[in-house]
Amino acid sequence: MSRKNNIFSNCSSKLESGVAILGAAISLPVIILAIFVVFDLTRIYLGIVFTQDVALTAAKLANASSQNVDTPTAYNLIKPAPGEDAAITVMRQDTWDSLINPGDPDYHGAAYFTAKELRVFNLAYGYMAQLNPNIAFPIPVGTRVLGGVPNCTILMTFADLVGAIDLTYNYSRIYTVKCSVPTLVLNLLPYSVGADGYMLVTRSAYSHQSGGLTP
Amino acid sequence: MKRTNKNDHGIVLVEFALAFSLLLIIILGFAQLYMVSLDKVDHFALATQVLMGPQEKSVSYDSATGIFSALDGSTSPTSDEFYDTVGNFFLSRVPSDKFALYLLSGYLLIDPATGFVLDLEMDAVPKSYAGVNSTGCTNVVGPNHRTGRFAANRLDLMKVWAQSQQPTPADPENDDGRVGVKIYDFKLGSTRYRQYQDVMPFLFMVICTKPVNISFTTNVYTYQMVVPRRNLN
Repeated sequence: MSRKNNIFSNCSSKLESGVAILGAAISLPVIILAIFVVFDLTRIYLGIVFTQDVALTAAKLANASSQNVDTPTAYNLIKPAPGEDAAITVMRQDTWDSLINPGDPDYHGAAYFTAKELRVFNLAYGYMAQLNPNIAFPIPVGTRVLGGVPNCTILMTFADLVGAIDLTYNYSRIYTVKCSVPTLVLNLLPYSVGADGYMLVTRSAYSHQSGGLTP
Repeated sequence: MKRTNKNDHGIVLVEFALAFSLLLIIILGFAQLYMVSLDKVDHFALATQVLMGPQEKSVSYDSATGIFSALDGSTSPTSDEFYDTVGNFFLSRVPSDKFALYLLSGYLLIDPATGFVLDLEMDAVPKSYAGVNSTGCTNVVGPNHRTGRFAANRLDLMKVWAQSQQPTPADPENDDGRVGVKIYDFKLGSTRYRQYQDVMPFLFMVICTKPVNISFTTNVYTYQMVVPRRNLN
């Protein structure tokens, strides 16, 4: 009788161990997934705040009367990702071309940048790099290889440019910042946009009467 | 009650249900806070752009009498025109149509000879600018009351503080408590001449959105007090 009881108790403890292992095997991936989702959501939230802050700063800089900083050429405002292929860096330079190319979707409205606009870009990108030294900019056109780091672009369009450029007019500008935020799992969902493994965050800010268009 | 395996299993089940429900409530609560926080980021961004954006003159000046006054229906611009410039710009910048803005102008009334605060004044009713899908904000009475209360509290706070700074007895050389927009201040011989604007304008904004409701219904309000960028020019 006692031997029979021993057999039953052995089977029962083995069954309980089996159930416990099965429970762990089911719940552990769910817990890990939940951790990754929270991590991604936090990263996206920080990306939204960061993007909005840079857009507002660019708009405030544009409204300022003078920018005491060197005037760059647009191709100098490039920060590649660590270990990036040279071909990708060239694509980042192509992004600047697209802003002044009338045929391009990102054409900002004029075939040139004024000295003030370039100085504002200089300060805004510098502010961005200061906030996050790991960032790469601008987002290269025509590739999904972004180096595993956040990539951002600052775009500028005119709020009130209609028809031909009037060199006596004080134009208002809209600064749009687009950032590709790297994600772990959320990029798998259908609504994510941007390159694989990234979610695109876009924010803009309005700069009222922020300067003329004298070259 | 005798302890049996069935009882043990039942208790475990009840405990699991309670713990799971609590965990779900906590997760949904944090998710709601996340959505509220995202809306607040948009609110502050919009307020900053309004501050830098297009504005009409915020005070009226009668050149015949030399008196500055608050905007109303007969001034140029009218108070409605002033509100409309700000409100329509706000609506052009909102990221979605669930945003609503409530505007109210307030003024500190200033003694033009001394710069001391005499009293406060504000418009009676806020003016609202609402997106198409902002009924969560516009179909409640709250926002108008909030705006009026916010404006009244802030103006009263400034008035009480400024009046508490006024030197007693009066001292023409003491600048404490002299607030307001100064037009001129100079000395001719031993006499000091000052002139201040009769009114000091402020604009009170309450921005309202109703975020995606995940666990409990809430509206998000942010309160902004703005000194208008444009005075008389």
